[in-house]
Amino acid sequence: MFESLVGGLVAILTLEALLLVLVGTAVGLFVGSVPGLTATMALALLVPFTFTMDPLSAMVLLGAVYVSSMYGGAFTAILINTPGTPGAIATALDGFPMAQKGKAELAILAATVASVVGGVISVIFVLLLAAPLTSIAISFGPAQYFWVAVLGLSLIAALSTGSLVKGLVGGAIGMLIGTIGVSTLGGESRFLFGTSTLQGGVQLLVALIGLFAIPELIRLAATARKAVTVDYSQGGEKLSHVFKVTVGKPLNVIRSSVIGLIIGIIPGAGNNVAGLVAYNEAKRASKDSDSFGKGNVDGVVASESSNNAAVAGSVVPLLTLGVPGSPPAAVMLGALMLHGIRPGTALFAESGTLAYGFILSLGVSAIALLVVGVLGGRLICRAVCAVPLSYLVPTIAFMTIIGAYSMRNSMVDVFIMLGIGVFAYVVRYFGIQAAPIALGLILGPIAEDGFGMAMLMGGARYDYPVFALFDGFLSWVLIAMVLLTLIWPVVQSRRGRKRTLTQTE
Amino acid sequence: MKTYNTDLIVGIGGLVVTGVFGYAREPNWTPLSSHWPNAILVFLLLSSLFLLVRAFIKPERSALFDEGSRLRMVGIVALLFLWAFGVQTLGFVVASVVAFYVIWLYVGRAVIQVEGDQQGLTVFSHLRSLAVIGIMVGGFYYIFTKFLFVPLPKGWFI
Repeated sequence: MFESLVGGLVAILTLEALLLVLVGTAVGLFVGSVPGLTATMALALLVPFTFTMDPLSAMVLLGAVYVSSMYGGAFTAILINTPGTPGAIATALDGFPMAQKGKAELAILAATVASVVGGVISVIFVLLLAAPLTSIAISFGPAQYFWVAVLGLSLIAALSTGSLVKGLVGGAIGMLIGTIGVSTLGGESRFLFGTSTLQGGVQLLVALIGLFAIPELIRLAATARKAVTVDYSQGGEKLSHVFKVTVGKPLNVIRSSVIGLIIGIIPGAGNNVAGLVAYNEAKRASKDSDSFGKGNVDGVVASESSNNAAVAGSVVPLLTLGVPGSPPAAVMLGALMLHGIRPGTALFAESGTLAYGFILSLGVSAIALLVVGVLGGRLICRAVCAVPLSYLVPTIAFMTIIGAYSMRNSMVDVFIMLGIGVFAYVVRYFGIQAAPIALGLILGPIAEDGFGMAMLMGGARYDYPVFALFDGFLSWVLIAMVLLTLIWPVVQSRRGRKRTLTQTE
Repeated sequence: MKTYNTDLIVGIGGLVVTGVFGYAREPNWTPLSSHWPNAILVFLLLSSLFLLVRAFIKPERSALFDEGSRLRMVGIVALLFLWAFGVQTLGFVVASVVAFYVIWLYVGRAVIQVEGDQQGLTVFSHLRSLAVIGIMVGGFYYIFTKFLFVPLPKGWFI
């Protein structure tokens, strides 16, 4: 193992490999920061360019695009409240309020440092614990998927500003939107309302653009005032301060990275779930949990470190089992096979230099984010803050239209995006925020698939199929986490009340 | 400022959504396809009823659409939909240039109105905006069609 590790390290520390990392990082940043362009799409387009490369160079390039596109999603999430990738949805929850308070640069730089730390921590874990981590991936069955989704959904309780019931109504509407189209379990078309245009369902990213970008766009036009301004009279944000707020609370970064890594390993869960769960745990663990959702940098750190850690996590089942943990990992699996490499447990023995080199290159790509992110992040932040509102509003509109269209090359998606956006803007005034709707939309299908498959399996094993949901130790751990998430706000509010009473006395 | 009973609005809205989706269910769905949406609909129904009850006991009240100009809210939504329809009929490039320019003008005038800028929009600012719009729309059209192989919609024009 040690020889392969050193061989991999030497192979990726060449000028050619480092240049590929830089190119991949730049491409990924562009893709990630344009809502509607996905890492999967960019990787699929880049695969033909890797035909003439050696396998390691090809994987280094693709890995760099994957890593930086996850990070790129944070820019739009923070500056215009539009997650560039679904993984950045939790970043927007605190990143945009920070930007509204004039702390956009701090939010972006904290996202950068958190992404780097998350990426590096996850690579270290993958290098040291690839085999045990693979067993986690295998131990996840339908029941565990269901409970992971429920754990994410329990975040609605934390995200609902104001009435919890209205948050739950929002979550239910999101889950209903998620059921539109062909059912993955039964195969029937659901809720088409007499038109075949909804057969393909509502694309997640199209809905997310609508939920977050369009309400902001309408608000900007209605108020004719910029939401994000940064005061540069005192100079830019100091890096030492950024590191202090990010790495100064190591527990938050490490916990979020480990959550991201584990969820990334589970095939199908994805980095959007990782970001949400890590955000939830950060909020639960924080002494200042009330400030989450109002511009707490810890929320940005938790989300970004976990969604970047999920990248390395998703390559674990890819390399060890040949099972991709996410759609971009599936494209990388195709690239590996095109180069004649068959992933599996034998890969580390037969092509150790390639396997370890690829994993290490993800760490190098994460470090490259620090250079690109600190320089580019400051520039983008200043540019967005300097752009007059009259240009900003049509630019956001243009990006949302082209982004929604390019998902399936269909104008139907543009109209769906606009419809959902106007709906989200209106219901916001009634007390239903976009975040619970997005949560329902993301997690509803995962919960449905997990629930349905567990019921099928339970039907064969038990008199009452529902018992299948409680199979295995992992299910109980997840159930305990769900209960803790639901009970915690009550415990905290009682603690707060006690503290206030003690202070008054 | 006038406030409204938002519990009542969300409760009624929830019932309407439940009704619309409930009516769109089909009897030939297998349990695998019907259990989940049914469960959500029951949950939505109960939540809506709870809100309706609360609406008459201890309602939440808040002002509606009080951020900025309501006319501009409607205006921008109309422009966005016109942009989308224009892409289908005129083609992506032409519709985007026209819509971008109209929104630039619309928001630009609103900013002048709100901030009280006396200088207003000069001929130079119009020419500059057209140049920026041309570069932006053209640039993205080129990247999407040539590099990303996304066939952007064509209508009467490109």
